[in-house]
Amino acid sequence: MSDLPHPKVAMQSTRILKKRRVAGVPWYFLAPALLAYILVVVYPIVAGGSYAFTDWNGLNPVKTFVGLENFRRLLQDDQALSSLKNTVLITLSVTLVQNTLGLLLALGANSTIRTRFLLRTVLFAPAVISSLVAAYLWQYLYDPNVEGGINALLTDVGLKSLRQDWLGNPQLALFAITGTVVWQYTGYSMVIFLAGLQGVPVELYEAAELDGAGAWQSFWNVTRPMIAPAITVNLMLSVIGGFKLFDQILAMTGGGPGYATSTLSLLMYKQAFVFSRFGYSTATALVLAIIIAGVSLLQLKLLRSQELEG
Amino acid sequence: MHAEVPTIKVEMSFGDDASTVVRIGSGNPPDLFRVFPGNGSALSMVQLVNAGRLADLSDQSWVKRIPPSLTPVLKVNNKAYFFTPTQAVIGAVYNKQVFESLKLTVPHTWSQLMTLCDTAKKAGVPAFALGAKDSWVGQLIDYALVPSLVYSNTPDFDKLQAGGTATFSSSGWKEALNKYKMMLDRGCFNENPLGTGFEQQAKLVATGKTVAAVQLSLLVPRIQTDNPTATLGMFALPGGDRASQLRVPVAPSSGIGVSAQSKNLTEARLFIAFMAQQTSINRYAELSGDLPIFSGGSVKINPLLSGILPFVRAGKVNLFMDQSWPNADVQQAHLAGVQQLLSGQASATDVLKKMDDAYQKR
Repeated sequence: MSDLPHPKVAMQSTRILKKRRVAGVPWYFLAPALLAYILVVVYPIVAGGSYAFTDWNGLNPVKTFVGLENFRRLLQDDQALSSLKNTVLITLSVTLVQNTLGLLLALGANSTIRTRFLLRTVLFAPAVISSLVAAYLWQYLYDPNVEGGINALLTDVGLKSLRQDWLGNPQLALFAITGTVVWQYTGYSMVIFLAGLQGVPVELYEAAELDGAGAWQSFWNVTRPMIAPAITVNLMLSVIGGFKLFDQILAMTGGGPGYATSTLSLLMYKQAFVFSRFGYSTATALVLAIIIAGVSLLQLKLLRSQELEG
Repeated sequence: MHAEVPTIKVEMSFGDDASTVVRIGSGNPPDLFRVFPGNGSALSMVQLVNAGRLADLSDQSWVKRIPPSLTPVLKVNNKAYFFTPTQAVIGAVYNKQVFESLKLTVPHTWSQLMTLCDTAKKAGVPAFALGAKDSWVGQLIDYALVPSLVYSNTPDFDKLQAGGTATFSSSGWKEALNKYKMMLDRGCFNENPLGTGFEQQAKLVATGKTVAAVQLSLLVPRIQTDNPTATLGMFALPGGDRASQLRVPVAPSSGIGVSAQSKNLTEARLFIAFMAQQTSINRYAELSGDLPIFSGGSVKINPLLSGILPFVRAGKVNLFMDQSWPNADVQQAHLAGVQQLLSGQASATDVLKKMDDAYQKR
């Protein structure tokens, strides 16, 4: 017994050992990963970002420094402002509809119905398709001349008067694209909500029921606070996804009719590869990145406070 | 090529124009790549020459054969930098079976064209398939009308515009766009043209659901695949009231240039020389269905173009308008403007004002 060290001494020596271990990790262990990160992520961002202050056309080896000229032009560009408006509109509509539907589907798929596993798979399936494939598929469904498209379905069910030129009508086209995005990614939101729902202890619902809570009260006071982290993740992902939406728009409308579905991402692409203005395009990309970062931080702050309250 | 010069192996790769721009801009250009005539797009001859990306081919023998009428879009500062084997035509591709069953006749004036529209509409078959969801398709109608409405009266319109004494707004362009809108309002097109793309347009005309479609001659073989039994023809789209006014847009197609930074410059130049031989030109024209850039030897001209050839022989042709525009903004203002015109978002005046503004950007 006397050979054993005093417990206090033993604890101190363990701490010292841990400290030594931590202090002893050579910093250069980080070097390979850090180097790869700098080369693959940091350098391209800085090098790419620097083009925003030049008039580079993508072809000419000479790049002239133009200061903030590209940003000044961006603020006065009608097409950029209209694209920004469309970007905000599509982000809001996708976020709202996709998450509402995703939550409803998650609540349904979390129930005890026998086909719940099949339902989860089926509902998630569109999310694994390439967004371009989904866009071409929906382009076909929206085509007013196709005999098996949405218009044909409306005719078959006696709703002929509701037939539309879905992608050709400037008032509808943006929402038609929203429909495609929502169809594809609602299952994705559902899975995240489902993960949150499965972590809610059953006892909480039993306690709420004993307290006389109805279905809505139970959802609002138990489910909502408990799945708040899932809500945060879903809202963040759909807002970021909405802001950088590109593939579906390029494939379905190319930004038309006119500029009715043009977004900042599409404008960025066109400025670079159609107008040969890589400098201006990079300035647009920087502004978009700043908008996304700003909105995301604000959103994170607001949603995190909800989580704490919950 | 490999059979003629066995030491040269030609490797082909297929990608879109954006990927070519990236390869050139990043200093890794292909030895040979697609180049568009004139100016007005990222991969157009003028833009590439200004950036020092194309090798000078002026010493090759075919350069002497370039006719003066094509010099503005095939040469810069009197030097040649790319070669194209064919010329494309914009006209009304029509389904001869439907045309005959409706007892229609080829129109030579605007009023005859309107009669054709009305007759076809009465028979329940729209006269023209329009796939304006693809903006490049939407532009082809006014491209077909403008030579008759602008260049027949003002042959040097491009020079006047470059000199600042002519504008889109104050020219026959306004009449062309107004007539385009008139065709829409009169029921000359299929329903929902803005929701219809090229693929549907091709199917509509090939299967006889419309009488015709205004398209590029090089796409006729593609249209034919939708119905191999259809007999297709092509006529010039009239825009004016006099048949003598009628002119056709005919212009060099995209061709091939040699990268100034190529490590295989000699071989790449040899490839161009091979492509520019009359036998290669004729073979290429026969396969693509377009007109050969230079005539000579024995070439089987696409019979579809028989309705267009008299205009070509009489010199009643004009280059595609965008090939003379100073930047890509004009083309984009035009593409978006046509869609806005068709959807009622803009008038012809609005569209032309935006095109004039874009032209000033230089």
